[in-house]
Amino acid sequence: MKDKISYSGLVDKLYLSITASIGFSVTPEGHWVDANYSPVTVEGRRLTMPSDKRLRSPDWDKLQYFHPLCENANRGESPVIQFLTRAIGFGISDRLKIVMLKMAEVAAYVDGHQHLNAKQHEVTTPLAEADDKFYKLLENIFEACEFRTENTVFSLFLNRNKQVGSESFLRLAAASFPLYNEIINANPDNAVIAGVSVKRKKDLKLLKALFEFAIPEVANGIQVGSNNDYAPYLMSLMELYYRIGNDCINKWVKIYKLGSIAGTIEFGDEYLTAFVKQDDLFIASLAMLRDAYKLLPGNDGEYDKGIERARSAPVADANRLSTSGSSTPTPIKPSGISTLVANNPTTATNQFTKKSGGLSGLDALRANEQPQQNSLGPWGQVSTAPANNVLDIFGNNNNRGNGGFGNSGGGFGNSGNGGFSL
Amino acid sequence: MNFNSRSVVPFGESFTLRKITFAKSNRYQPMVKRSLTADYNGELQRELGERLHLGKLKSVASAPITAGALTGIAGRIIQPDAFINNTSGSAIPLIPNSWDGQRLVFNMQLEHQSPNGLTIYYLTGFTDYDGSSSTGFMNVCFDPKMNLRVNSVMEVKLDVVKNNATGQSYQVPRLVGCYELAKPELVDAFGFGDWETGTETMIRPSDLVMANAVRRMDGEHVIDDDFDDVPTFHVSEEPAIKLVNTKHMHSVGYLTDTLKCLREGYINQHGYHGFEETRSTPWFEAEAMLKTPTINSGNNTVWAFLNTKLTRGLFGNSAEVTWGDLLRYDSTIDDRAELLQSREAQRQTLFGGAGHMVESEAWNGGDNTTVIVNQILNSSVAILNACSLMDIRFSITNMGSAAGGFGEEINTPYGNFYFLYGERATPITNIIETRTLVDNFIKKFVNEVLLDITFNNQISIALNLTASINSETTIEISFDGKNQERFVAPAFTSSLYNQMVGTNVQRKTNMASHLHSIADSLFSSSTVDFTKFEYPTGKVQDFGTPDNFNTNTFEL
Repeated sequence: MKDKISYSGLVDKLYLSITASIGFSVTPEGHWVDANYSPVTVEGRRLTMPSDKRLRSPDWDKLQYFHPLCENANRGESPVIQFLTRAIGFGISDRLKIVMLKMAEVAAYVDGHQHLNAKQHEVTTPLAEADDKFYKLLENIFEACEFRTENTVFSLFLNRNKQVGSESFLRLAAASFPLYNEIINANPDNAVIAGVSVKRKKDLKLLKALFEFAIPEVANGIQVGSNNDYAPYLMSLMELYYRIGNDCINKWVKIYKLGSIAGTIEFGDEYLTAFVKQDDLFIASLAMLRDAYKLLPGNDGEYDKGIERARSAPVADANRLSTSGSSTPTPIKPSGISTLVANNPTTATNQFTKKSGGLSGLDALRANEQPQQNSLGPWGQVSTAPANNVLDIFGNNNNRGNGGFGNSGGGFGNSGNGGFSL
Repeated sequence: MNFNSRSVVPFGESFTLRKITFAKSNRYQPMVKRSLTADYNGELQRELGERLHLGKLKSVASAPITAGALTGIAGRIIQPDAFINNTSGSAIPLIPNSWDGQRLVFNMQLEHQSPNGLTIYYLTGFTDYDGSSSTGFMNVCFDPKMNLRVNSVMEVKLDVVKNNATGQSYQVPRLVGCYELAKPELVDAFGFGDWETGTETMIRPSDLVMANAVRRMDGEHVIDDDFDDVPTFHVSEEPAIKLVNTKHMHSVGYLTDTLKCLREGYINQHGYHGFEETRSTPWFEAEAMLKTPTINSGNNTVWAFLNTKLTRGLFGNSAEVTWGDLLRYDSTIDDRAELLQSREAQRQTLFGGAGHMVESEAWNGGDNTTVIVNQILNSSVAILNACSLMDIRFSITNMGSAAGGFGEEINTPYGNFYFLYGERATPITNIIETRTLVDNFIKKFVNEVLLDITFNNQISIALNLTASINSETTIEISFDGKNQERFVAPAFTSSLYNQMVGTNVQRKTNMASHLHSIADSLFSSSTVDFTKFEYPTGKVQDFGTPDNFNTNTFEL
């Protein structure tokens, strides 16, 4: 027998690691679920991993199959790519808030400076003047600005046929920091940032310093272009995600030990790394990976009109959670991002203190339904509590053994005190 | 009365019903309507450019847009869609007496005698039910109300060849073409009564060429400001029978003709070398080269005969003829009608079945295997026609052993396939030895279908195929190391699930704009500007615009 490789297995692994990196998980049925086991929907359809078995009896009306590699060079952003852009942007945006709040807290709490290590101590130089009021101000600003508004912390867009300098790209992922721009353009005498008035002039300087310290590329934004033959949208998007996620966020998460609250972004998986770093061997087999499934609508470009119309048909079954079979209806919002937004903002941030071993499946779900006592960490509004065995919104995997993945060991040791420990 | 010479039946012009053969059919799983879709990415663009030698040629007019140049790539651009429109069950084509009903299949020979020579039309198809009844040994009657739905029409011309040495002349049959009679239906798919989304459209090459033509005429023939209306202007979409040339049922044939036609339109519109004059209706003229006949075209065509002589104008809407119609035209057809009843006769001709419910995987999947099986199903019809075969049975695999595996080696630039002939093939014309036709078939099948499917022989495949035009096609496939699966399709109903019927108007617009932009990227980049002449030194000198040629500024 000749050696011929089966490629559908490889592409499944790549997709699983993309899922994990964004902070979602996949049920045994292949449906994407978020931290609360809520179904993830794209344009009203449940996002589902393709597999030969599932595609044998497909449901095009209720399910959106995830196959972003099958981009069409002549068509625009597919609903799935748009969803990925939103999900990544939301995750980055939220983590940046957490990281910067932590920095402000560290800088403001002067008594604790003696306990910092050298890396952690660096922030006290640009933020030497930070105090409690600055911290409160930052908290208020971050509360006011939401993702995909004009003063969001982080904004992410995809472009077609763009030129950066002398280089032209088929597809370009561009990240910018609108809130930072608002800060540097603000009038120092009467500054209003995201609707929050900044009365002290030194706060404005501190804000600028904080952004520039936390995000080295904040001034120019980040642009990643791709001329990949097969999936330039996905490639540029994931590369940008890797750049800001690995080089900026994961660095701070590690330094400030925010693993338990912000969560390390999982780039550890070899398939994703090979994809993002454009490993020669991997890129060479991309054509085959792409062909492991045929063109699945919603992935190669915009929906056809006919398909789009079908969307308005009621999605009855998707209201039920297929994993549990319980009748806890999770409201489905029309766009994917709304299911990303925490349904339950009052859940505890540092629930890790009362972690009672492996809640699994239905129990975790029930536990999650009950609003837990909020110990009101400084960023309690920002983050959500993950169910114990689920990847939470930040990719924070508390009990990986119970999750669906065997692909990487997330591990972040220090979670004893929730977000407070340094 | 109009005495225009075209409308007068010339002397000696006649249609004769030669013979009709019936057989009982098997019963089948429902088939699924699945239209074509187009894929495109950077690699395909580059490879297509290389195959057509663009960039090396002075003009796009000489680019070799041939089946040979496009093998191994066409099937990756034009392929059956994984998506089927199953919103309200409209994906399953309507067939009288349901898919698992027993019916007859037929094979009718129609002879057309004209001053130009003799043409024989082979009409194949199915009836709405089993309208046969035996009235004794070898004596069969048919119900005059039984509808014969014509599925495909094959045209075989008998060329008269004179042997100069002996002075004898004899007839050489030649397969001219084959058409399937597809019927796009007005399907209110989504319950909204929306004409645009609920109506099927044709996506044949000619339809796609015309669909975006108006957009490209640069305001020359602006019909409506609203672009969405444009495609609907050109191709009227009444539910009527549309003829599909079977050579387009095959990715290579489809892409070859579409690109040729788009190139023609491109040249017509823009001219090339600055010399060629542009045409006023470039896309209409380009489309004419595809020569797609319609049911209503011409007076002495087989279509006109079927539509007016046999059925009084109803054939154009349904492609159906009743047995009574045939008797009315020629009552002696009853004597020349035959029902194949013995299993042995059926086995020998691979025609018909025995009323069994055929076991088959479901056809509505969206996975790779199902899509590929669809590709094989449709391509095999095109290649059978191209090779003058009615059916064929064989096994083929690319998983050979070191010892050579079974059967014969079929060499390709990407390695060998191993082929085992099933000793069953029916030639349409008996002028060439069957085995030669089979060899042609296999060569074409491997190069034009299997190389696409296996990504140039990189993915394993093992295939047992019994392909037929007028009976049933059985595909036993093991693809990409998966278990063997068996798909059976009633090939005699292939026009009901023809891939050229698009699920909605939007599908056509998308696919058309898609193919037009492929053509744009191919042909515009390779058009060499003649005003720039390159000296051997590599120095480029600008001679000015073509207008300046005429005003004597051009000097050597």
